[in-house]
Amino acid sequence: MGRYIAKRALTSIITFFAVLVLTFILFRLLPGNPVLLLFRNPQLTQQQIAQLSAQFGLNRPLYEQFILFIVNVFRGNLGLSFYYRAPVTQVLFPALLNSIILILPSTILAILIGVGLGVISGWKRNTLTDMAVLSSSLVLYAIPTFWLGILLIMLAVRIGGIPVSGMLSIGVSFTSPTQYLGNLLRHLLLPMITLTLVTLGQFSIIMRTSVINELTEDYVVAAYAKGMSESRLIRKHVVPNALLPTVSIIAISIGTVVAGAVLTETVFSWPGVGTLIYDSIARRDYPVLQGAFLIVALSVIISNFIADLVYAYLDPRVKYS
Amino acid sequence: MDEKNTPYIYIAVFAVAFLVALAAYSPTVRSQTSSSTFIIGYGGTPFDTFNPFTTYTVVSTMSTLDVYDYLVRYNSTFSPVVPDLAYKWEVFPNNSAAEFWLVRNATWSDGVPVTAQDVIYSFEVANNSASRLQPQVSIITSIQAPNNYTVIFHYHPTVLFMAYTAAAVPIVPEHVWIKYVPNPSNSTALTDYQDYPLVSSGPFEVTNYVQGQYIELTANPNYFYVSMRPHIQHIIVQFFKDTNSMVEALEAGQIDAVAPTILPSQVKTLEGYPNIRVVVEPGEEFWYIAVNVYPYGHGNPTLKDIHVRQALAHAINYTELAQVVWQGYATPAGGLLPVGNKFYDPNLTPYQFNLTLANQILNDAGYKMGPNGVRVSPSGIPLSYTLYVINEAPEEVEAANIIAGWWSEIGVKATVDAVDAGTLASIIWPNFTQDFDLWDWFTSPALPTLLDVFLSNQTETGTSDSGYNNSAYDALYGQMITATNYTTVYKDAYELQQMLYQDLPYIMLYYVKSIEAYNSQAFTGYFDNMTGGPFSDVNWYTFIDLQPASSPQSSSTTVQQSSSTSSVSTQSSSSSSPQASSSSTSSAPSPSTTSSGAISTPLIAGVVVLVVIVVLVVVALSLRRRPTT
Repeated sequence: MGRYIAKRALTSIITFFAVLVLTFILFRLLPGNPVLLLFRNPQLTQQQIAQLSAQFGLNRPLYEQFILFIVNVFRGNLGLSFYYRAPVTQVLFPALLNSIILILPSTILAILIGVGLGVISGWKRNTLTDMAVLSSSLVLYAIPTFWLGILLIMLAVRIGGIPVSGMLSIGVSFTSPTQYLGNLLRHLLLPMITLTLVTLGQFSIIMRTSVINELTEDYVVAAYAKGMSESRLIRKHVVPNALLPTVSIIAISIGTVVAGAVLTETVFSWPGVGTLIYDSIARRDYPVLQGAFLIVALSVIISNFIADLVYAYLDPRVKYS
Repeated sequence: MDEKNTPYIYIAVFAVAFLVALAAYSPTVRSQTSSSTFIIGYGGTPFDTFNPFTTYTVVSTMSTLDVYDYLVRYNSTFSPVVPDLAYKWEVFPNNSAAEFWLVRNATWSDGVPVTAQDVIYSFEVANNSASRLQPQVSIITSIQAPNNYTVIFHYHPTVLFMAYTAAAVPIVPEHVWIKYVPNPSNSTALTDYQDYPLVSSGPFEVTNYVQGQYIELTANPNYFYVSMRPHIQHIIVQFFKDTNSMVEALEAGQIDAVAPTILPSQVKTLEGYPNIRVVVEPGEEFWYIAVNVYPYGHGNPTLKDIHVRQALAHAINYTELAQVVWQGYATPAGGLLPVGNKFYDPNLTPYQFNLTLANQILNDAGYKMGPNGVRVSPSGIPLSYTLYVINEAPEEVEAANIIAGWWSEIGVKATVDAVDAGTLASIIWPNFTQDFDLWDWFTSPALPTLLDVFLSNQTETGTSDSGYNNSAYDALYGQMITATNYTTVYKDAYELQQMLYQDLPYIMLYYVKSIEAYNSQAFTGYFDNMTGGPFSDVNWYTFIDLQPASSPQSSSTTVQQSSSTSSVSTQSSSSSSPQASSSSTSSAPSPSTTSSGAISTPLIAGVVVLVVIVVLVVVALSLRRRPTT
């Protein structure tokens, strides 16, 4: 067991280093000089541009920039954002937190509903219920987030009273934490519904397939023959086994919670990390991009590492070696 | 283990943990009346920094127009004649020196008086190499303060000093800034300083800023010009990522106005709301096609032939283009500077759309039609080009395709390629490998200085995308910015625009109008009649004039042009000062920017990590009940 964990941990660390190198190289492959882009100002002089480049360290050779980047990462210093002229941590972490507030509950809700629907669909396969679940899952999976978001906004405007943008009613006084919480939850409503709807499809489709697979196993037939009730059979035997393949997907989903949801965040002006990453690509804001991708990669690696351990623990067929 | 209920317990645990995490995120609780809060949605380029010397975004300038004071301000026709920190000034007859007398009762928001030392420091910081204002203050040779309330500037002779320099530099508090930028010429220190929390002297103070969400301004009750004290307690600039949802929020009454501009298609939906007024004013933006005429460039060499450029300019229907792409909310362009600019030349009209004439020009110049419908130059080079267009503006990609259609009718093949700004920049600079780029500029309505984009030395700084190289143009530009009377400035600005019009380094497409909308029933006092509309980065009137519609003081003194006398006169244009307050000096210092956003990051991070762990444990435990094989 100890050896297994050590081996997995080593793989994770190697992956992390590979990501470190890739994030550095990838963004610099994008054409375009951030200084010229940020300051498309006819008044700037040649000397000023050279000065700005020097200040952002863009005039140094690439290998020097890379060494500096690695050293700084281990010091916990992610550098200075070109666009905001502020430390990356200061730019990134509030956005990260806002994203987690939106995406974590939406993802969990999507997993719960999606897995539940998948079980029902697989269980009642080839019935009207199955068709309904499967087709609505496919439709939700394929629906453009933007369109669904705007549709919900229009609906909310007609109903009235539901905030359509931002995280809080700005300029309104909050007299108590509960009032504040209520306001935040009301703002959370539409983006959360949107995000949950567009992500639950993948869980239900995978769960359905995996339940159907389990139902054809011999042990299920045997248990059924012994007189076990259908609902108990599903609950006790089929679902736990069918969940195994879903674990990896859940792990990846939890890992990417910090990556933000660009489209949902954009439609509802949610100040999350998805839109921050998107904007930073357009501005060639390398430090913010590096910081963001580092954190996304790190959380995917960690949650996969945990998933590996959970998997080994759940499935006796996985050998600890 | 009671297996039946466990999943529900886990879900409940998660829900509670989530709510606790949210509550931990709770910001400061403050009280205010929402009726005196004006919320403006902003859907343009996101905010960058409060530092007025290093910001490059419109939203930063717009939000702080009434936060910083200047020596003087522009009036609504962009003459620098409105007194601000200087209640009186005099430009010396040789146009190379000016003296300013400062008000004596101005204080910073921390209670410290505003003095001549602050002015000198601000102009020194503006001259920092990292400052965007450096070119504007580089004409200054010396600044002196004979006493605490008088400042004298000496500069290279020009009549533009007042408009170009004096009205452009915000005055910042030396006693605060000196801690962060002790040496005004240290560029690293200036770049790193974000100027927040912000100590200011203007009619409004910045009292809160939450990244990615909003800026909150609060009225300064002690502002030194009583007549310019705001009628509204709070102004909130809320950032939007998507203009569609911003317009929906205006319809739903969740915000009071939208800026910097909305799309023509959104105007229609707003017309159904009686309480919403849409304001259309000349804008600060224009779109053009830059032609690669750089003598050392690597684009298609046929574009260096003026006949080709003339033919191309005649093969665009500017009126139809503005109608189709902007549904009439754009004006077909002639000269470089747009309609709302002070130096707009009304004599330059768009090139006439005439395909016969365009074909004629190419025939006469020896460009013969090739077998595949593409003309070939006398030296055998086909008129086949790539037309790059910025992909962030989908409507301009449409415009590029329409233009390519017209050009194909005169035997010119243009392949439209939509790229992002970074890619386009790397194609153009430094090697000029492009043929055309369809792009836009924003320009201050007060100045003709955008004409410097065509100076020969601008090819290296990454602003000249045409590579125009004309020593006569360079000389005339130099003459314009050192002119000592406005007649010459106007004459030269027109002449420079005529040179561009004839030489066609740019094929000008259209000037885009600014479309803004606001709730006209809840608030009054919007100052509409200005280039850029009521909420531009030059309109400092609106925020001061705004008041709730039900306000009893409907006949209060509004700050319109407080003195518009002799806008062109150069000699001692001292103006009547608005009555200064005598009560403000004794007032207690208002603590600006209290510790708002008291969110303890480690705490939230801890709670969030906890929540994640709980979730993982839930998953692990609920999966554990596997059948034994």
